[in-house]
Amino acid sequence: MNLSEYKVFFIVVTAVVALFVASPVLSRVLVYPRTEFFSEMWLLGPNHKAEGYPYNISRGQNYTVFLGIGNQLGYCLYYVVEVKFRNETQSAPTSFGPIENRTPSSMPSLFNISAFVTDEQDWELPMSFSFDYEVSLDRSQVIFHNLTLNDEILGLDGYSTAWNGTRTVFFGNLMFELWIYDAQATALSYHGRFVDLKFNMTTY
Amino acid sequence: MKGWVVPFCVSLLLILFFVPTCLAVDEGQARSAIVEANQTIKDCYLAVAAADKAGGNVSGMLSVLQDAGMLLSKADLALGKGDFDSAYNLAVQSKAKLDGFIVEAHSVKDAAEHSGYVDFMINIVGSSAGTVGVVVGSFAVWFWLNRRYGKVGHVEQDES
Repeated sequence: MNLSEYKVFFIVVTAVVALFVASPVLSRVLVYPRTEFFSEMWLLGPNHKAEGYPYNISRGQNYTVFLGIGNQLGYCLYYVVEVKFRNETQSAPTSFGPIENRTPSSMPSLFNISAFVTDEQDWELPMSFSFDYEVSLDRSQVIFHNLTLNDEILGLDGYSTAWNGTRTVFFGNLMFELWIYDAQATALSYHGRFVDLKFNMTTY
Repeated sequence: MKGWVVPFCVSLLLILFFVPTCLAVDEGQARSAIVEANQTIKDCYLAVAAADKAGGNVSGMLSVLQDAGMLLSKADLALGKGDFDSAYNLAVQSKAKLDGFIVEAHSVKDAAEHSGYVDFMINIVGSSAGTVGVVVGSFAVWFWLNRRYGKVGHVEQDES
């Protein structure tokens, strides 16, 4: 028996068995590390697609959209979505520049929605809403009374929007701003992201 | 008869008028119930985040936390509308939903840490030690085989 003839076979068998035994370690070590950590936020139309968003709003009519959050930050997060409404002249959240420098709208939050999302998980909520408003007698502005969001009546007293002759709309803007709970500061901080719906408040 | 009927009716009216007023919740009580519920949610979130970090399954707990958060939002809304009774009740309900939550989160975290330790010992330490054992064992077997049969092979070659 000449052992040297079996040397290569023996090495190959040893390597295969060693790789098999080492596979649990290798499966953890040979993983490409995550380099991008971020949060996602989206708004889908009534058919759960990025289309068919409500634009021409009628008084008392119900509309449905889907609000979603995706957590890719590497740990479980406590998100708060602040629901805000504004007209054309009121403050909007900023959309440009580094995300950490973006600022939220200065309008007060009408309602807060909490979402607790673990890493690499999504959260989604169907949002059904309707507006109650009236058009002024001279038809120059829309005066809002309330917004019903998922059966919660949110007061819009003092909110109004003037007729924009250039764009031919009574402009309304429903915003959903993303805030996160900062455990070190023990407070909510703006996460630099928002989604919104722009409306034409029709007179019918 | 007439002597006690009038005072009785007046007393009854006074009671009916004042008792609900006395039992009603004022703004301060509602506000402090909301602050308390808010703090409870934050504490529970930190506990569940720690359990999640340890590798525990926290999906059921997150859904409870979600419900408590929604109740708190409704309490905030009611407070804004000046409905202090509802605000107080919703805040109390929110807090009650989280009774025993932190203890549960800690036990999930402990179980996850134990399971993580076992997993580490088997999959990392065991696998690493096993790999070294396979390589060293193979060399040992090779040298043993070489010592035992290598000479025979050499002799056989010589004889041929």
